[in-house]
Amino acid sequence: MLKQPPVCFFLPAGETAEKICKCLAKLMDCQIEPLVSSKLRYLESFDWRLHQAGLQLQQTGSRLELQDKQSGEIKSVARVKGLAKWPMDLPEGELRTSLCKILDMRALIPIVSVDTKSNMLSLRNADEKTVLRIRVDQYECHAPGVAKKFELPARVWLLPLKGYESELHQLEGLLTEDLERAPATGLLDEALSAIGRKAGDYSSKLDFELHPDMNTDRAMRLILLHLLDTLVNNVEGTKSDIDSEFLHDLRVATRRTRSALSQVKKVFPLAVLEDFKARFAWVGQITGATRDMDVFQLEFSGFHKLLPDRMHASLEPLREFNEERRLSEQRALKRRLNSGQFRDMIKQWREYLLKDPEGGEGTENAGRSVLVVSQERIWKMYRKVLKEGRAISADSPPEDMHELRKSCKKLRYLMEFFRSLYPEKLIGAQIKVLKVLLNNLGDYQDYEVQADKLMNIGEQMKKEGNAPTETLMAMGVLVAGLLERQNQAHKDFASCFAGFDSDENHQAIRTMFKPVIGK
Amino acid sequence: MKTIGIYNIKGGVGKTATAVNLGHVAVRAGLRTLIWDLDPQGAATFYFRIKPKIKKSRRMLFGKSDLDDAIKATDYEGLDLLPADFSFRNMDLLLNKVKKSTLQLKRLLKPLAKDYDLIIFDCPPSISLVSENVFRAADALLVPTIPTILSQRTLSQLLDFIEDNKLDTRVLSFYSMADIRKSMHRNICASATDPRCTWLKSIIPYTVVIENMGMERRPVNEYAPASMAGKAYRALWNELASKIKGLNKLP
Repeated sequence: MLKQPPVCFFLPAGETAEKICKCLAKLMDCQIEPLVSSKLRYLESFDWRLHQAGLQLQQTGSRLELQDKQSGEIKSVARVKGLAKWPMDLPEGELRTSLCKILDMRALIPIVSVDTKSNMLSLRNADEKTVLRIRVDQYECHAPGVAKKFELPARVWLLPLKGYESELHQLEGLLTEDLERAPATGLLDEALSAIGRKAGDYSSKLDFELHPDMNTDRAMRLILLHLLDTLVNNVEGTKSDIDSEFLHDLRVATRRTRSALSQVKKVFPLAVLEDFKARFAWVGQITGATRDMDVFQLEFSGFHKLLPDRMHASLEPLREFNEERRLSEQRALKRRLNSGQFRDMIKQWREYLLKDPEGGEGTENAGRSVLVVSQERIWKMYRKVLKEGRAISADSPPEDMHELRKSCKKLRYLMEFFRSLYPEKLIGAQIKVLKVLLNNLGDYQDYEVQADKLMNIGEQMKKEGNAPTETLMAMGVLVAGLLERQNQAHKDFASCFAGFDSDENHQAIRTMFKPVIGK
Repeated sequence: MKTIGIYNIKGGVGKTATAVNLGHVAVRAGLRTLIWDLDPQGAATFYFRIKPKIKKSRRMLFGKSDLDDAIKATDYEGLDLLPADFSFRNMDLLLNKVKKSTLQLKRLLKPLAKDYDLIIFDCPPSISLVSENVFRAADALLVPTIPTILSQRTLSQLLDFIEDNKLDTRVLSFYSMADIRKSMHRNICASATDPRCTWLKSIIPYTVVIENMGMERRPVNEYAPASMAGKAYRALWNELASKIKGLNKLP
């Protein structure tokens, strides 16, 4: 509709919107419109998926608008009731399709609100036709749920009307002499900065720089602090049950912490190590049931694929049954995350990690180079994976596959912790190869776990007299389908493992990780 | 993108008032709307205080001009107008000279689909190549009909033409300029209608508020939203939206 983008200027500090409107009204035939107030809320996923995709989403009243972050171009629009949260609950259309694809299972949450007071002027020609609109916006922003507001620089907007571009250029030329040009985009970043945040300030990915000369104690404290921050950042979202990924990230941070504590040995004193290993194992344990049920709810679309269309509706009682139990587990989890036991653990762990490592813990590996220690650990774990993988045959029991998966995960975590010490291209490729193997092993185990769970739930539903025959039949078909897929995953194992157990791979691993004797 | 032609063989039945007022209401229902003033008299263009463009149509038809360049924003955000072009009186002659002359309008519309949710054609009266182009390009024809025998007759003529030419144009009609003080208007409004078209229940009254559009040069719902006419156009829109998929009712 509009080819010419709006032109924007900053209103100089100390000038008011009313004053500039009066000045402009003196210069030309202008109609001054009544002052309009609006509340704009920027929505994002907790892990900034829209920002990563170069987009931003804003809601004003019922209007939800997806924009290109760089150009401000409106990509798609929808009308919604209430504050948008789940992409799949939006009205059918382009916006829903885009958001479902980008956000996947993540919910939208408000990240910052901007209250705008707009003074609008309409510039008119001799026929009293509006040929240009001028809007002076004054902004105040605040973090969601926080009363304290921050003022942002006011902007003067020239909003061209299609077919009347020459009027725009005339006024643009006039204002350029007195006012500083402002970018038409960037309000979101300004508002975030005002509330002390930055786009992309959370990611569950491990992102830190280690140096080869760093001692292992210092490096491990850095890694573990990063993991602790990730864990803590996800506590509120988990307690509020915003979406399943808060708990997922919290659990991954916990698992990585446990892996770091048990894999990188002789860095921390044994008493400290045993104490915190047990406490993090407790976190793993209290979060397990809710996560299992989250996964089950997330898997429903996958379950549908294993069933003929006409059986889909039969699964609804199963979904409701699981959701009811999930909510109950979620409440129990919230109580535990609110407990003194959890809070103390977090506090004491942080205090320990922040202690000055220069004091020396007197352990064998604490003072050694992190590069050397990481090489030893990765090399050792790599050899363990090779040994366990090579021992697996078509007749191996599921336990052997599970053990191999655990070892592979440990190896992957080690590579990820120490990634920055190695050439990115080489280690990135290794992690990729390992992921293929892990996906296969993960599928193998997940199908089995889900089939077991379905059978258990079927029993429970029957006991509670809550099991329609068609639901049990659909669940039976599902179990058969899942076990068939598990079987397929087992068959695929050999080729996935061969990709990992290749000469080329050995060579790369050997170059990077095989410890040099004498160091 | 949906396209609706406001059309009647007869002149003076309230076509332009319908196009302008429905276009204005459509925007309030959330649709990005373009009114294409095809009537050389340019009344819709006048109502929006826009100056008509001259000597563009020939280049447009031969694809040498960007239709988009001729579009003007109205004073209402989301509502644009393609102004009447006085040389449109020659459009029939021009259409005669191009291949597939009855499909030219459809071709011109294609690039507009990304910018608009709805295009409303304010058509000139009489059956011509221009109107036949509209019949073929529009998803529906909306025919304002005055509750008189003559008006009903012209509606039947239109439906005959569509039938004879085997066009699959969907036709909807409603009573326009109805004066309930006249018994004939009352009787005709209450009587049976031509079953070949969808008859809408909304009636646009004959009222001075609509006549005042000429002085106000604004859509009725801008200056008299509480009037009978204002309400009638909103009701007509909602009824139309319930009949045509893809059109939103007013919030």
